Amino acid sequence: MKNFFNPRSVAIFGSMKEGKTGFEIVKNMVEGEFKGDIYPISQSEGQIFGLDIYPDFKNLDIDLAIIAIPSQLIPSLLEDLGSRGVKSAVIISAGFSEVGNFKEEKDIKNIAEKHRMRIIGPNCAGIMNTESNLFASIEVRALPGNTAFITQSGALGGAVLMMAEELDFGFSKFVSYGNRCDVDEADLISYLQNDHQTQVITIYIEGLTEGKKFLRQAKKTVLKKPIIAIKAGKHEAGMRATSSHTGSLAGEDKIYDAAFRQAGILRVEGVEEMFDLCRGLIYYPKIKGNKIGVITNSGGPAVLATDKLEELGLMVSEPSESLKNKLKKILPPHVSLGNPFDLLAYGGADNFARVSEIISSEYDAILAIFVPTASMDSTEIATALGKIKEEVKIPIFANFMAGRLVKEAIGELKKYGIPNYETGERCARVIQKIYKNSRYK
Amino acid sequence: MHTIIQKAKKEKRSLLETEAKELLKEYGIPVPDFRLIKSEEEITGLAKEINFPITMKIVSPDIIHKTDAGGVKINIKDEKEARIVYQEIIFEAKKYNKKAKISGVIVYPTVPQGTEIIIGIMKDPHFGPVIMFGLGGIFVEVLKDISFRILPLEERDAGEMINEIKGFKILKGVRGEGPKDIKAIKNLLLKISQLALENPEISEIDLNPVFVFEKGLQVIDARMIL
Repeated sequence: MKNFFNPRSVAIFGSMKEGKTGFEIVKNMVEGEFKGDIYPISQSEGQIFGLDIYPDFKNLDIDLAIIAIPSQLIPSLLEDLGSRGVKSAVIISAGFSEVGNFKEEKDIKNIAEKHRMRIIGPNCAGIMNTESNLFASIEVRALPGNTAFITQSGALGGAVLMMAEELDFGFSKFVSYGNRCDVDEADLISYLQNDHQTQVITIYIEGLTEGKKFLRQAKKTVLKKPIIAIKAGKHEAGMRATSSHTGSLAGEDKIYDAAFRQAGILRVEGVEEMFDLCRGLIYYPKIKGNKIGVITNSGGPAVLATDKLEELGLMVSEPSESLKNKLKKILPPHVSLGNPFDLLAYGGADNFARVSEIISSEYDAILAIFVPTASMDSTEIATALGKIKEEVKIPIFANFMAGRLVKEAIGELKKYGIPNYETGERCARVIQKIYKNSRYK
Repeated sequence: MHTIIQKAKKEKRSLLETEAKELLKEYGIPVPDFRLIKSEEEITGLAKEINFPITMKIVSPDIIHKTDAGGVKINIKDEKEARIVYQEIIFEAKKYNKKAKISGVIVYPTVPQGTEIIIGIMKDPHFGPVIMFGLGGIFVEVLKDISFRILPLEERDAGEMINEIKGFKILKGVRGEGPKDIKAIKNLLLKISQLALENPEISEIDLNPVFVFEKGLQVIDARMIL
C-alpha cells in the first residue's frame, strides 16, 4: 500500500491530448508539485507541461502506474507492468463490472494476483496524498488536512472535494476506489489506521461486498481513530428471497445501520453532516459525559440549541449552588445564573472566558453562542475563548452567528482549534454523535 | 451436524415445531413442556404429564400456516375435549392439504399471556447471519419497531438492541405493570445467536411469539428453516 501513497515515481498511461483523462492527471500532478518523478506515457510524441512524453516504460523505474487507457488494452499493459515488477496500479478506466463486464474485471484481478500487484479501481477517479503532493486524480486537488476520504463514487468524491475547498477544509488522503476489484474498503481503513497524517476517516459507501471483513477491520480501526460513514440507498426496499418473518422485515438499510453501530462507525445523513462531524472530531475525539453548559449573549439561539441538545438526549442541567456562588462574584447582579448562562449585554470577551473556566468543573462540554451587537467585538471574544481553551480541559464548541459579521472571529476560533457551527442545532448534533461514540472507547 | 438437522435434511424439509423446540431446550432456552401426540389413544393419561388447559397444534412439514389450516386450538380443558380436538385438527389438516404428511399434534400447557416479543435470525448476503429483535403484534407488523445486529453477538450488543427499540418503555413496565425480565431477553438473544452459529445449516429462525413475564420468559412458537 505504501507505493500507492508515497511513490517516488508515477507513470500515467493515457491520452495526453488536452481535456483527456491522461492530460488532466498529469496536469494535476505537475500543478500540485509532486515531489517525485512524473512519466506521461502515450503514443503521441512531444512534451506536456515541460515533461517528455514516453512511448513506453521500458527504461523507466515506476512505483505507481495510473491507467486511463481503453479497457480492452488494460490486460496486456498489466501483464507488462507486472512482469517488470511494478507493484501498484490505479485503474481509472471504466468498462468493467459496472457495465456488466464481470469476466473482464476478473481477468485483470487474476493478472494482478499472478504478479502480486495491487490494484485500486477500475472505474474510479484516482487517489491523492496531500502530504507528498500526490494528486493522481481527475478531481480538484484537495487542500492538506487531517481527514481521509474514501469513496465508492468518483463523482460524489469530486463534489465533496469542491465543497471542501469552499469551506477551506483539508484532507490527508483521498481515494476513489470504484469497482474495488482488489483493494477494498477494509484494506484502505487498515492502511489509514496507521497513517500519522489522518485523524478521522470518512467513507462513502453504496454497498459492501465483504461486509464481515469490513466490520472486523472497522472494529479495530475505531479504537485508534473515528470512522464516519455515509451509506447511500436508505430507502431501498428490503427485497429478499425469504420465507421467514424475520427475513421479510430485514431491509438492507437496517442491516447496515446495525453493522455500523456494532462496529462503532458513526453514520451521518449526508455530506454536510459529515463535514460538521469531522470538524468536531479532529479537535475533540471524546466527550466524557452528557452535561452541556451553554454560554450565550442572546436568548433565542440559546433556546434553540438547548431544545436540540435535550431532544438528542444530552442534559443542559442546572449548576450547583456552589458554582452559582462563584459566578455571582464575577457577574453583574441581574445576569441569570442558570444554564443556559445568558450574559446579556455583559457578554464581553472577559465574561465569556471567565464563565467558561468556572463552569468547566461541572460540565462535559461547552457551547458558546454569540450574536454580534454594536458594542461587542466578536473577534475579541473568539480570541479570549481560544486562549483559555487549554485550561478549560473540556471541549468548547462555538456557534457564532452569522455570516460576514463574524467571519473574522470564526477564523480566529479555527486558529485555536475551536470548531464553529452556523447554528446551535447543527452543533448539538455533532456534540451528541461524539458523546455517543465516546462510550465505546 | 446435529442429528435433528441431519434427519430433516435427509427428508428434504425444515425442522418441525417439536424439533425446533427440542433444539431450543438443548440450549437452555425455556419452552413450555410439550409432547407430540400421534394418535387419539396417546391422549389417555396425558393430564398426568402435562398441566391442562393445553394448546394443540398440527405438526406437518407441509403445513406452514397452521392457523389457516385450522390447526391451532387453545385452552383445551381436559382429555375428553382433547380427543375431540385431535380429530378436528387432523380432519381440517387433511381438508386443507390432501397430500400433507402429518407427523402428529403438539400439545403443551396454555401459557398465560405475557408481553409478546419476537426474535429472528436470517442470513444476509454480505454480512452473514443477522439477529432481529422487536415487540410482537402491531409493533412489529405495523410500526416495524425492530432492531438488528450482525452475529456473533456480544453482551453489549444484546443490551443495546433491546434498548434501541421505541417500545422499550413497554418492557420497563407501563400502566401499573411491573418491569419485564430484560435480563432473560438478553440471555435469549445470546443463546439463540450461539445456536445459529453452531448450527450453520439453519438459514432462518423465527421465535414468534415469545412471552416475557416479570420473571422469566417462554418461547411459544418456533420455526427453523434449513
